Amino acid sequence: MINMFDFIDRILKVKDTIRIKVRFNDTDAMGVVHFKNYLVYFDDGFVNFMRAVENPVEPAVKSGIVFPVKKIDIVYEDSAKFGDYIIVETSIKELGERSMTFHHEIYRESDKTLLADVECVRLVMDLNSQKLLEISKFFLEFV
Amino acid sequence: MEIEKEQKIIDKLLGIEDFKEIEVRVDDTDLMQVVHSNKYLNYFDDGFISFTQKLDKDCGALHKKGIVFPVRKVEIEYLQSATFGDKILIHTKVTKIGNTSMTLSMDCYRNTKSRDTLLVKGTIVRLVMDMTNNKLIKITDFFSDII
Repeated sequence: MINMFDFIDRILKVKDTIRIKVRFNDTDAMGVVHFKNYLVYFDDGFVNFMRAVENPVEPAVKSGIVFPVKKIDIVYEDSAKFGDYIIVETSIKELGERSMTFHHEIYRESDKTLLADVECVRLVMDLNSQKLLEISKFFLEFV
Repeated sequence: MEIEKEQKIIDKLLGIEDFKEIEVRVDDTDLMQVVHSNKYLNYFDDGFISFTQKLDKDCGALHKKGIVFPVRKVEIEYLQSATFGDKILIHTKVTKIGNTSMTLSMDCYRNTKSRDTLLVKGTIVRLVMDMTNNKLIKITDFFSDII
């Protein structure tokens, strides 16, 4: 039996990184990545994080478990351009009873410039019962 | 600019509200069959453009001259989901005018007759920038012709 406190302690220490290449159609007429696309980048960060903690999103989604976004705060510090490689660093800031707050920092790889600082609150929902799952139960079932 | 004139511009901006209706496209939705969280940022763009049109500002023409509206900060709270076929009403209102930034609330409703379902509560901070010299424009200077 996994000790929940140990598990929470462990998961709060995980910092995952994913590298993404900016696509042409991520940019807008200003020649920079449109601000909505950072949400796609940190979606990727979230998916990669869950894989890193051995809780991949894909099989969960296939069984009807989804991860709706409840709240997002983003501060945009600089812009990425077509051809840039960006790094999304993802960690969990807080685990609530039925929510998890992710912290994503998005950097330009070439000069390590911070582009966007993000806090994103996600829930875990079972589409079969339309109910929110307790975060601890979700992780224990899948670990 | 005189302080009195600046205050008049700020007061006028703070009093303006705009409502823009958009229709959810099929590719706005994801495999959960609801509008993906990032698409509301497009709706915010639509709301902002409609808001500026109300002030006789043509974002497209301004863009050609190098005047753009970068986003500095976004806060969104997702309360309900929208799906393909829904009409969404974006309610735009200026809540704060800073020296070189403006804060707008962008609330999105499902556009039924009662308009009682608030889907998303959004706040966005935008700047006005002249790309020809890469400098920020003072908000009251940019809107100096609205009074």
